[in-house]
Amino acid sequence: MTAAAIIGVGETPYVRKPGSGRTELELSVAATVAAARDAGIDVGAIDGIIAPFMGASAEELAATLGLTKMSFAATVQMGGASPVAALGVAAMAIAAGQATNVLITYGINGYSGRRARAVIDIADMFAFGDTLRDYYLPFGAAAPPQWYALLARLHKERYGDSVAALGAVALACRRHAQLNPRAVMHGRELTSEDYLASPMITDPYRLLDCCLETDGGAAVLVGAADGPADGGRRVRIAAVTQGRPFPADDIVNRPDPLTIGLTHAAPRAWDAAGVGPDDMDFAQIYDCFTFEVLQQLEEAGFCERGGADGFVADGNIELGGKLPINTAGGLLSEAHVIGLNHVVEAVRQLRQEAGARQVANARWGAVTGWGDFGDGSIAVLERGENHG
Amino acid sequence: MGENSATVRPRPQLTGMTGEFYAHIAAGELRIQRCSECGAWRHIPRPVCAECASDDWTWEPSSGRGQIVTLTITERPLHPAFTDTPYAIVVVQLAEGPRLLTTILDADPHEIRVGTAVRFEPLRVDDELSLPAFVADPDQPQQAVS
Repeated sequence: MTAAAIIGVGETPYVRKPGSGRTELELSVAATVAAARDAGIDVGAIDGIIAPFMGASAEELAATLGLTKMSFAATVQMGGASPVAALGVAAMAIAAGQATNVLITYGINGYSGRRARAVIDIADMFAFGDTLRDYYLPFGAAAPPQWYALLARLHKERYGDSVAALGAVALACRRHAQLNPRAVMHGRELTSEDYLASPMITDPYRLLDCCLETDGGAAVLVGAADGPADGGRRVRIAAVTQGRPFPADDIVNRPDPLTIGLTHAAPRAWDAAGVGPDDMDFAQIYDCFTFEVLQQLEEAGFCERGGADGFVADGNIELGGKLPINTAGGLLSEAHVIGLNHVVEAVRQLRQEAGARQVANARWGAVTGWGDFGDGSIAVLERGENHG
Repeated sequence: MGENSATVRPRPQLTGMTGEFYAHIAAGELRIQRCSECGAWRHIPRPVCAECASDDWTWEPSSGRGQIVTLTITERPLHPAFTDTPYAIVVVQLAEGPRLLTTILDADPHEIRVGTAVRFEPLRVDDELSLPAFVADPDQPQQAVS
């Protein structure tokens, strides 16, 4: 078995107005070229692709990038949980000898092109299955914040979550974005008064509880962990797991509605990695909406269920705190590249390349993914052996 | 506006089990699938029982009574066909156990509370389609939400 590592990362600029001016395929290609350069390999050495669930196909990517040695391609269908889960598929392909350099990329015109705010396009609708079309949409439950708000309210009824806890997530992400010139919200500070004054969208979600819609591309290359000596730039993939709530296609009829994919996935990841939540120097938590961060902190085991409200207080999730999260600003304040930008940031942290937002001596980091009606994924990453 | 306009409210696809479910609603009846083998109720309609894998089932009349277990009030339009805000998206748990994503009729959205007892009331869309909605049911005691 060949152990796998992230050997290179790349991104395009993240923008809103006036849009990227490029197709989603072009965004992925630009990010991939940057990732290959970062990895020190020729683009042509890529022989595997985990293609995005929306955007360019593996065939289009390979044709455009000039990949003549393709030996493996797959797609993960877990919505926003897909990029992190794709790390696991790539690692399996490496371990099984199916490929040597596997590309994961997302190029998304989430601002100027497709918009995440509602399921209107029939092609998008079917990714969720018939339940959404036949039983939710007729009542106007058309957009992710509406579905997840039902979980947030249930959680609040049981545990008494405060508005301040939701705000703490939004504020932490925005503060971290001030240390990241690439972040869309860089230079735009946020106060708790601003947060509370932002308009209610669908309670408990205010505008500033909702992630950004941005244009941009990101790419991650996965290869063998024992590659040529390169100063610890290979970030070891210690474990990646995925999980689904039951039933996955219906967010309403679950025996315990607060049990999500991550509830199942996280314990397996900690077991496989041989470390636990307390060993993490940081976490990149999929922040489509603020409550999902609270819920994932609980279900991943960073705190007990119902404990996130206290866990996120007092700057605990900010740089310098107990568990800094979303150190580049996250989907709330950096950009929304379906969370692949969370993986890129984790790699930068573990390579000690995060500059002003570097977590000192970061050795271990976790990245989560959340998608569809609560599918979940988690990666546990460790810095390369040659480092520190 | 043409038929494919995004401002036309999305409709369920009235075929198969979903067609049968909505045909009952249009007839003023809330019927829920029940396994003939183990007796488990289930919604969303599916061909096989998740408890015992039996494919033997019937449409059983529901009491139509339940309570609100969670909700969200949408204040800003999130879909071009649903611009009449605020509106309530509510999950009702039926006395039989299954839950429906639905809405509450004849209520100020901001006055709808978790734990409220409700009963089934079909919401007529047109000759072909009615939706399973609910109204507050003061005759039914309120219960603690589990």
